[in-house]
Amino acid sequence: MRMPDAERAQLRREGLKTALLMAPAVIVFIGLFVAPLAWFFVQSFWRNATFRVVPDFQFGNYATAFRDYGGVLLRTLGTGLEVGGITTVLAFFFAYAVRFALGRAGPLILVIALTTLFGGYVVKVYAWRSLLGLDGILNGALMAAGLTDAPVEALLFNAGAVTVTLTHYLLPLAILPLYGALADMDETVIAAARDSGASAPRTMFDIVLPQIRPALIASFAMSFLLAAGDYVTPALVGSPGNAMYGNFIQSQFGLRMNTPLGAAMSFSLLGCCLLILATVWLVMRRVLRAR
Amino acid sequence: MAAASLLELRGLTRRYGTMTAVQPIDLAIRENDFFAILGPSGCGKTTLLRMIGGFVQPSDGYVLIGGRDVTRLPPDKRPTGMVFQNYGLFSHMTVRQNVAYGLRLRRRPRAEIGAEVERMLDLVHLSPYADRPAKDLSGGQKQRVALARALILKPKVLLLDEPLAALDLQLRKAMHQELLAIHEAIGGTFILVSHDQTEVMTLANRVAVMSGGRVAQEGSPTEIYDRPADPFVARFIGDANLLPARRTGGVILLGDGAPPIPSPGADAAVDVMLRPEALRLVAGHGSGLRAYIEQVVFQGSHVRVHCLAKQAGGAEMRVTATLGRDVLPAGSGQGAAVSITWAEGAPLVLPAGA
Ligand SMILES: Nc1ncnc2c1ncn2[C@@H]1O[C@H](COP(=O)(O)OP(=O)(O)OP(=O)(O)O)[C@@H](O)[C@H]1O
Ligand SMILES: [Mg+2]
Repeated sequence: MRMPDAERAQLRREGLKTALLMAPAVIVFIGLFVAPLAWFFVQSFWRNATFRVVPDFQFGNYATAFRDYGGVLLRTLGTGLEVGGITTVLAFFFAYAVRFALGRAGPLILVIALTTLFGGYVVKVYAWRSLLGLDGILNGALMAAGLTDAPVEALLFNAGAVTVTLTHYLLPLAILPLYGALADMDETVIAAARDSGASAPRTMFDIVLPQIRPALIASFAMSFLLAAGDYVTPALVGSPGNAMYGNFIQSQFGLRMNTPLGAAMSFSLLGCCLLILATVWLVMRRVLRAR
Repeated sequence: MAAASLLELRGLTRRYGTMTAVQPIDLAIRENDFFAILGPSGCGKTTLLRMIGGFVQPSDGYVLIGGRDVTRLPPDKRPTGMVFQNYGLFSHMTVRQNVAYGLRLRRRPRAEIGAEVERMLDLVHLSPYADRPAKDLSGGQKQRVALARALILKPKVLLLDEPLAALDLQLRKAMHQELLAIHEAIGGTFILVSHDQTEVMTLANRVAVMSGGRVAQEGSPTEIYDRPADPFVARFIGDANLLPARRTGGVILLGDGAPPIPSPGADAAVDVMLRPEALRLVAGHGSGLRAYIEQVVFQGSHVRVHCLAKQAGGAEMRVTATLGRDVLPAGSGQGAAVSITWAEGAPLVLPAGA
């Protein structure tokens, strides 16, 4: 069947309108994101000669990225998983309490939690430094309480401090999608599950979590990616022994001026992260499904 | 006592801040009662049901089921089931999964669950939709899923919060028959909240009319219809003419030509209730309340005739009669003079109300 000409013209106009509306965003996206990324992707197969980069097509950079930096890569992904997991769980409990348990105080507490987003990222890192440091508040409190005689050194400059700092920084970001999903959820659904005979934990696993699965994945993905890609926090509150992959990438681009290896390492980390996220997505879909 | 009450409410109260949604309520509902709660929007019906089901904690009072205090038990530990006013379907599940959920929690054999679910879906006419996602249904379909989901567990006390409000008349009538059959079959106590008085009359053997968080009157449907306790209940159940008058010396005079209504008691302002179907019209001003026809409204099987009459004090009042089409007096167009008559026992004298 042929469409009447008027209708076709109408469709064409609509299409043109959409294209015009999207054009600025698409141009910015391609120019500032896709193009540089593609450029670095090409370079990741090039070779580094003394102070210059030679076009080539070889996988040596990737071999180095995994061979020489394999341990760091694993530790980085581990930290990412740990921070992503802890952050998502904490964010869920927080959002759940705000939505269902705190009543009128809930929104206020949510706003307070979100205002911490205004404090810059580096500010927070330094805040934790002064909290956990030798003359920090925590040590001061421990000594005042008589629990220790000398300040505890184990608080700062280790993997634990990195995890704590990253979790604190990522928490408000992870709360947002979860609270949004829970706010959309009808309380009657929970009541109906309880009415059908489900205990509170059963209701959580059978009804609440599956219904907000996309938000759970979004929160986890965001905190996992930001944690795994971070290189500022480990430099400031971590120990030199547990620098993350990002620190080594940074030094390839900076001090060592080895752009091809830096690019290859970046894409290795990116690839691994995407692989992990895909796995998490599949597992979540299996575990949190309708039964 | 013949039949012990299955569900007992003792001083059940719910306050929200300074507002009292449910005033202290005492109710005893027997094992096989089909109990209906009627009342205007916001009078506390849902809150009352939610307290029985365990979703709202009472501010005061007790809920007893089978003599056992369940006031502090969570919903999953109570022998109650509820059909929620806003459905509360599990939107990530299919229709079948929604209905099967409760039985699966009870770890029934798979085959048994399958058969039960089929039967339930058939009952609510949803078999063709069994594998649709619950979120893709129409309002009426969702309501039937909610109904099937609660019914399948055969709860001792089934709480139905306007369970048929979204259905068309045809389907609603069919569901009435199903509900009665199910009640017959599985027994237990059904508690139905409804705005539809025909529904209440069809289904319930006991009715409570609520107003402002209180039970205004409780009784059998005929009791409530024939002998409402106050003008509010009279107006809420069925149509009612509530004619303002005064009792003087044990007699009430409604207006010109009306026979005096004997009514013992002190002199007071009263409302006289006359059901529209209890009235007859006679052409011309003879014996009977003198009136003029204001409007005749055709209503299918019958006609409603709105008349204007004069109160004893002289003020105008409107009286509505419902008549079969064949008993409408000839020549009763707009403005025609008529006399309104009724049987001797028809008027019910109520304390004057709002
Ligand atoms: N969670 C709540 N917080 C504050 N007030 C509430 C709450 N739930 C109900 N109320 C109030 O309690 C009163 C009774 O509400 P309820 O839902 O029981 O009415 P209802 O009789 O079911 O009305 P409808 O026929 O419209 O469903 C209303 O005035 C309502 O505003
Ligand atoms: Mg209600």
